[in-house]
Amino acid sequence: MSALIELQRAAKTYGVFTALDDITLSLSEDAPSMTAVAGESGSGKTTLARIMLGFIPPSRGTVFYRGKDVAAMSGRERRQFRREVQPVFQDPFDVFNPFYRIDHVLTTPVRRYGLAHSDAEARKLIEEALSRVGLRPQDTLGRFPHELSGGQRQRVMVARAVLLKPKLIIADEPVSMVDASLRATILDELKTLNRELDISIVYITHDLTTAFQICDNIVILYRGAVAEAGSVERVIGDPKHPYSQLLVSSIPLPDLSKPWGGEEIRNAEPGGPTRGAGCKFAERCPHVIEMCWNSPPPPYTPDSDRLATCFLYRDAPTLEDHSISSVFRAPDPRSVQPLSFEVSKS
Amino acid sequence: MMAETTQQTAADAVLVVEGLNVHYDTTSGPAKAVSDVSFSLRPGERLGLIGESGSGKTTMATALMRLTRAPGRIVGGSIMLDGRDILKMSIKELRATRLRDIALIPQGAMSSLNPVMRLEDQIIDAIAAHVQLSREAMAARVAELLARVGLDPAVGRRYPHELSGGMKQRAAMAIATSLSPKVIVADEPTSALDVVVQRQVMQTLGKLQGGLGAAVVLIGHDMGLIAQFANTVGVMYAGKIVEIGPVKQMIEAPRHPYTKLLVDSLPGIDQKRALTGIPGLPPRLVDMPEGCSFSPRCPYAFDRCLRETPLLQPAGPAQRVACHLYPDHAALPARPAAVRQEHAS
Repeated sequence: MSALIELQRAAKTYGVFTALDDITLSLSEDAPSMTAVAGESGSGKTTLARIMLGFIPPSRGTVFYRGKDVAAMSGRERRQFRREVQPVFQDPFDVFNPFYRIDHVLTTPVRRYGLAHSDAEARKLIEEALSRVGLRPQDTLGRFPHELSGGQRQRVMVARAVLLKPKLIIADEPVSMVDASLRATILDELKTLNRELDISIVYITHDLTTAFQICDNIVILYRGAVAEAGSVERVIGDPKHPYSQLLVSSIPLPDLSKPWGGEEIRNAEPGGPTRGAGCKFAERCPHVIEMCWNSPPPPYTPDSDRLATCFLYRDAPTLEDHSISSVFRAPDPRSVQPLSFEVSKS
Repeated sequence: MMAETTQQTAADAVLVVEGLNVHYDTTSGPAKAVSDVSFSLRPGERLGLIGESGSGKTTMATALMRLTRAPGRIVGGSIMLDGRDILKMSIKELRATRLRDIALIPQGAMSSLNPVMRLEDQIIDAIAAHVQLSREAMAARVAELLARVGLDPAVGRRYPHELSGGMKQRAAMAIATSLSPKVIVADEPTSALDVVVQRQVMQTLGKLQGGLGAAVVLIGHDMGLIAQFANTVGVMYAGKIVEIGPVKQMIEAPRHPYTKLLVDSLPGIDQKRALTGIPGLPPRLVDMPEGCSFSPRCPYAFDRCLRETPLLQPAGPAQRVACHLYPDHAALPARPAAVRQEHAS
């Protein structure tokens, strides 16, 4: 298995503050996957995304893209990396310059990467990419950003990414500012890109329900460190780490037979220091024991496709090579799932 | 029991909204952001109003407080709070009523706090506008209010930038409930918060509301959140309430196709299934389609829907729905295509 992108003990610190702590992760190139990264604000989700995109270098550790160290790439390799690893950002409003037509964000990458030899060819590429994400080119091109809805603008950003024939799309909270009724459609498109165009997707989110629905595996971060990781069925369906349990029990489900957990939750002070060198979740943890305060727990593997960095599972074997992805399960086989409700897609 | 309130104007209702219309003046004519909305609330009732952006939710919240500002205008209707019409009050009466009888927890309450005032001074400011208290009594009141929303009274000495998002939201709740209002209007109070903090804040709001016996109008776009909090749910689409009823029925047996699609667009975590969105976009409020405003996106739409605007009508126990499928159908039919065929003329 060759790795598409690989992080080796990557960490990011700002002064004394650790934004991301020692992450080792690799995504396979042969089996395009969908991986969710979840956690609360300040957990390091976006830092991880920015490191994978090459926007910021890690303070420690190395990032490899298709076997090459991103920090030591030649100009040509870097261009290829930039083209093949594409971002989709959270805010579908801020990414557009309001004075330019929508076309601008699509023609610029075509020109910059020399994807087309003529204007007609460029136009064809752009129209294909727009149709791919369910937008009608004739209704989209020539318009200004304010003339499109948030959902449409976000799809234009997905189309922009698709245009470059990427191998990896890193979508940082792509639907958190989009209405619920349109979220499903955009996420469905990401899944289709994964299945049909073999694009690996890293889906950064705080919404565990959609992560469960579209992703194969998930990494849950807490204060920059991995709390739990593994297949979505394990981690979300039956969370083991007390922090993941807290997250899952706080999801507001539209299901009256599953009321919110009633237990009181201890809150950490904002930006407060973590006490001692132990587990970062210790001060909020309902199961905290003495050893939690002394040293951080190593990743234990209570199941073959899950790790939990929590001393509650200290009887389980520890993960030897520290690579989170060694507990990932293989991506779902490609299958077209039937629609549960009869709706024609326009 | 509480179900009846949504059916008819209950005699013991604390808030009765009747035929409320709010328009925004635009260069292309008035945008009907809230159009003919009527509902009533009993003391202690929790009404969740859900809708997409642009459905009129926030306009509704500001109108309930009579805080509508130009280019918005309240063009008609009444908002009876304990028998008195908020829309007909003098400015003086209105100022005495706000906060004391009806209070707003604004959207993004984090930015509604004054950044250069200590939290306790902001709470005192609000109370002092209504009642005179001695310094000691005021200090005791502030400490009690902070404790009630789960904040350490020492937090009162802090400035807003020293608080987390969840703490600021709690502070805004402490202010809104400082005079024990009869009605609390909460406009997306948790939209910027993490899921764990969201749950805590909503549970605190629930406890506060229970303690005060106040009615709550919770405005939001997350069906899951509304389902967890409200006992009555109203669904807004393009400025209108298209369906309203007890939460259980609304989630488990929605009658309006839009409600059904909204519920379905929220996936659970039991099993994987295809994600279903709602195709199309809401109409522009200055350019509403003929007939039912949801008809261009509705999988069930037949020709009557394109001609005639459906009115809210009773459907099933304590539910009201604005859809031409009723009263001909007992429940929402499973197959839209069959409905279209059946109604084809």
